Amino acid sequence: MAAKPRIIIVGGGLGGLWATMRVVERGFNVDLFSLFPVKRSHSCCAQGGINAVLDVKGQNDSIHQHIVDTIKGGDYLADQPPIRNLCDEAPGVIRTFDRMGVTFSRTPEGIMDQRLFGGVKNKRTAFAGATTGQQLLYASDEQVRRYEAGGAVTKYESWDFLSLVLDENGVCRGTTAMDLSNMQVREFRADAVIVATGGLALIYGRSTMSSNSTGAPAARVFQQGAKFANGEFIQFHPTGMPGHDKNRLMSEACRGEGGRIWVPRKEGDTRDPLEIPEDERFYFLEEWYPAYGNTVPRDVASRAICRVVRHMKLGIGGKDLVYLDLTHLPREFLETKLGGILEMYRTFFGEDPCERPMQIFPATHYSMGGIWVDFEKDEQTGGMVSVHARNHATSIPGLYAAGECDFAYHGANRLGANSLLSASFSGQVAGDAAVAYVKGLGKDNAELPQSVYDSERKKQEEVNQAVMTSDGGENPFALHRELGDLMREDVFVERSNEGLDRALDGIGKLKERSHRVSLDDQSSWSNQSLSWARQVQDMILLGEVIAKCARMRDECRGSHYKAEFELKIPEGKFEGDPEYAEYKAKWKANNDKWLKHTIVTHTADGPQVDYKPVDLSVLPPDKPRDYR
Amino acid sequence: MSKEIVFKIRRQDGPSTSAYWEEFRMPHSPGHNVVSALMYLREHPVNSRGEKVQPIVWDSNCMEEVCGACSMIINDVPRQACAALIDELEQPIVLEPLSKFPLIRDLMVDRQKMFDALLKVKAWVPMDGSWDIHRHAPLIAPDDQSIRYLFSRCMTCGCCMEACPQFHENSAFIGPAPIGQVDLHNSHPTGKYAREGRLHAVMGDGGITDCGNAQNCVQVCPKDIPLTDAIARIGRQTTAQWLRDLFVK
Amino acid sequence: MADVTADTGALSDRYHFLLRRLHSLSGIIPVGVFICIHLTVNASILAGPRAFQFAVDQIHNINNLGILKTVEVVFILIPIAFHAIVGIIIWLTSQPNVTRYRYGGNIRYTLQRWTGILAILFILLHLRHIHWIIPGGAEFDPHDAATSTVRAMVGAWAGIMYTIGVLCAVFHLANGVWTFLITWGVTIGPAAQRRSGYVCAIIGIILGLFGIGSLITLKTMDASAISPAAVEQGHTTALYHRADLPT
Repeated sequence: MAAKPRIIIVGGGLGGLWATMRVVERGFNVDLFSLFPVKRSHSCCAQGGINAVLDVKGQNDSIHQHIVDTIKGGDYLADQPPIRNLCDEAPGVIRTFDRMGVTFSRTPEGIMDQRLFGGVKNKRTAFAGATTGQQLLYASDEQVRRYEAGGAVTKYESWDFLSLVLDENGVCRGTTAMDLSNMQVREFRADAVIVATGGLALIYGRSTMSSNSTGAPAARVFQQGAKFANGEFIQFHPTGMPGHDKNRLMSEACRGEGGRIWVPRKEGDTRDPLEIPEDERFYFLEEWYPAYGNTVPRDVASRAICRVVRHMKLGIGGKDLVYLDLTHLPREFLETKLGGILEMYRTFFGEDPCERPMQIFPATHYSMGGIWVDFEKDEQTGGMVSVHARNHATSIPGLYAAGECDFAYHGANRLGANSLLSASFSGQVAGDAAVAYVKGLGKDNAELPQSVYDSERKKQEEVNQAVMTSDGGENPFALHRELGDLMREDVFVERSNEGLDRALDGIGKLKERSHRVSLDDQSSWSNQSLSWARQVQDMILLGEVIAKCARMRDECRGSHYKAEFELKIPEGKFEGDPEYAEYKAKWKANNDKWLKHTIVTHTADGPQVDYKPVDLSVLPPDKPRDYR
Repeated sequence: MSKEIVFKIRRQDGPSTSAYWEEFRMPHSPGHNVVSALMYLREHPVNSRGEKVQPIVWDSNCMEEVCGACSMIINDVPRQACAALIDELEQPIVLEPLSKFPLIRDLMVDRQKMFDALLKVKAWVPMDGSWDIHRHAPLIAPDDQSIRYLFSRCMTCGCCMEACPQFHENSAFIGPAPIGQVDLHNSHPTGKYAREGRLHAVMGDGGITDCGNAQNCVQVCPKDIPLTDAIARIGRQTTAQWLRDLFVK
Repeated sequence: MADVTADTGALSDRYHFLLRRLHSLSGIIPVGVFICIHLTVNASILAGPRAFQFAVDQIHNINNLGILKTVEVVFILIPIAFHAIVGIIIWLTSQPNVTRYRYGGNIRYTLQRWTGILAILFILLHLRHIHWIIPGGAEFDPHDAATSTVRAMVGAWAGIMYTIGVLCAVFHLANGVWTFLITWGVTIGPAAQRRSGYVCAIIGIILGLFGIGSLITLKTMDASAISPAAVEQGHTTALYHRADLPT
């Protein structure tokens, strides 16, 4: 073992930065890798806020309720002991952010304000204007810079993580990474590695994600043996603003404040929306769900929009678009309530939502699934042991995962404002765990010979060489576009086994084509095509995992929906009604069959899918999820 | 509306090669911004003479004007390319890399200088550690919070630095953005404990005194951050600090 | 972990700050004050040779204490030289970019630098041309202020040089007051800076009118027509007797 163990952290978003802080504070040095300056990480896109029970709104909010909301929100498909710690420690996380100087919005008394978010009944979301994620990211970035100034952190920004270096026992002993300026591959020694590389929604082509959220690092460790879990659970946000480059999020608040979703009743109606009379507009959410109308939950709204567009062919101009209409509301009202959001629409769409209906469509938003991670259960508290080498450990010894790239906490569906929390919290847990792990390494953990590192580096150089010299005519950028089109067509909000088979078939072809690229860029300097071509191969691989997991899961749970397996709550029936009892029995039977984690292992023949029970010890699933 | 989008792009293969202009044409469709158009050109790297060329290299990430990555000069204005809608720009659209930072390739530059400046001015709230001490930060008045919020949105995009006539290769000036961060942290109830260190950091060569009050920074800031307010406030604070250093110490 | 909050402000850094603050200050006190007095004295020519002589005597009578030269060197010449030298260094580190950024503030920034440079050249020429400090240039006679000044102003080049020079100095001063208020943190918000801008503009316009007005008057005055009696009257109405004036 080297004189002082080193820990490599890949990814400098909230998760990676929190892990860095923890490792440094426990006395170890960190090599922090990121594709770009860490301050530009995707965490900055989170707008709404971060959940923690502070109970400052006189609602008798409790941590128990936060636990229940998170578990139920995720349709029970998350190991419950870590959720307990997540919610328990959330107020501490917020307090720490406050001490870091985050500009949280304040009440007139100067304390942190909290607001209401989806899927909960209490005001539990702390926020900093409309850019909470940005503020939390910057505060963490500043603290890490403080440690960088002290010499404990070395940043490798504009480096692409390529692979792990594993010893003969399959233990993680370092990484290889590519300098994105001179395209040189280098090996790095480490005693533990934490990947905190964020989401993967770019697999869907256009999503609400940043253009670097490809999931490639997750795919890379997956191919080296890390198990991937619950890949089929992808959250689709109903009101995305489709763009050529990405689908920007239009907040749920638009509907909350009275926005109406509609399409022209007539197929192929190309009239200007303002010329379509009221009776020729189809307010489908209001017609189908009279009780909730436009404010149905995210998954329901997304599914309804897809039904109208895909099955009824009523999308605006035949495209994947519906109207989100605010024009019936007074301008002053909208500016007060939705100012920042409307500004964003104006900036990026160039139209005023107060004058013209917005055009929206569900957008891929968040991956609940990810790299499988372990936890050490505390039998006394029923939670997770706070600091333990098993927490957030992947199936590769010495490799940890934190943030959106792991599969923990959110089960089958994530609640709004829980992601900033889980990213920060899991970062600290993983940082603590990695330190516990390296401390536990004995002296027998001999230094690995350089040849092991050299051979991994050579392997990666050969991959680069193969991509650079390949002359198969395929364009990696076009391949990515095709992958996205395919995923949005058949692995989207509504899924069917037929469609998923088609998707798997298509992905198989893309996979083969992705190894026959011809790069237009032959430069050995800052060659974005090279890194992109490699990432596309990884995205296709994870796309296959997602489609395969979805194909295998014959039920509806959280964000995963297959119409043919839907269990509908009988309308107007509640606990005590025989119809409800019958439904509940079916629901329980379905849970017995499907309430389990999908665990995927990489093999040469493609992803191999197994299942693993969920730890339900905190809140056993006795009651179906019911938001009526 | 034209059926084509025409770009004139200043390209450079690497830091040591010479720059050249290249024109590109692509089909118009509504809703394009500069980044989405560059994405199209990346997939179809053919210049307007029909020659196949190397794909254009640029920086972008969030594509919703919060990460600060995609700064470039678009029709003479330094701004975020993702928020520059094609239909609101005069054609041909002229794209140039930021000129005040070392060029990497094409439209991509290295803004490490800015992050180094944040380190130099100690732009953080000093704290014991990231563990919970079961206490919040001291109370902050909502009005103070809203001023601080303006500065905490600075995404280190470099537009203010680009437009500043005092910030360039041959000057030591750290530029407006880091001074804004000094102001932000000096205004925090516990951040101000380390005020002296931050002020000293901007009192030397290249510090606050090297501002020339051209005030281009506030004009081009994509987030409308009141940088000149910060510069004036730090001007006041550094004067007071200098006097404290002289008479109190 | 090293102590990252250690203060690294080196001593030489503090001198940089002092130098720049003194530069800012010297532009107002004493240089700005001197320019105001100078232009006001000049402007007295508008009221005729007698008034002009009276005003000149007010200043030059200071020599009855025997310190005029000292005062000129210590409070005028050295501060101007200091302000000019540091100013040239500042000018050298600027990269004006008005062609791209045509904002008012940026135009003023650029003008501030160029008017500063022109003002330095002007002051050198002005000293060479009219002032007694430079040997051979002693065309200004404080004993007969109006006549000697009017004679000195003969010729087109003098008119052009003084018009440009005075306007540059005045702009540089007025805008310098505006930036001074920012530099020292007096005006912080844009509204305050806008208001101080108006005040500085008014100061500038008044000083500019003083300068150009006196220049026009001097250019249109016939030196031979200036009555010695008027000059004498100017002397006698001064606080001190003519005998106190430097010879």
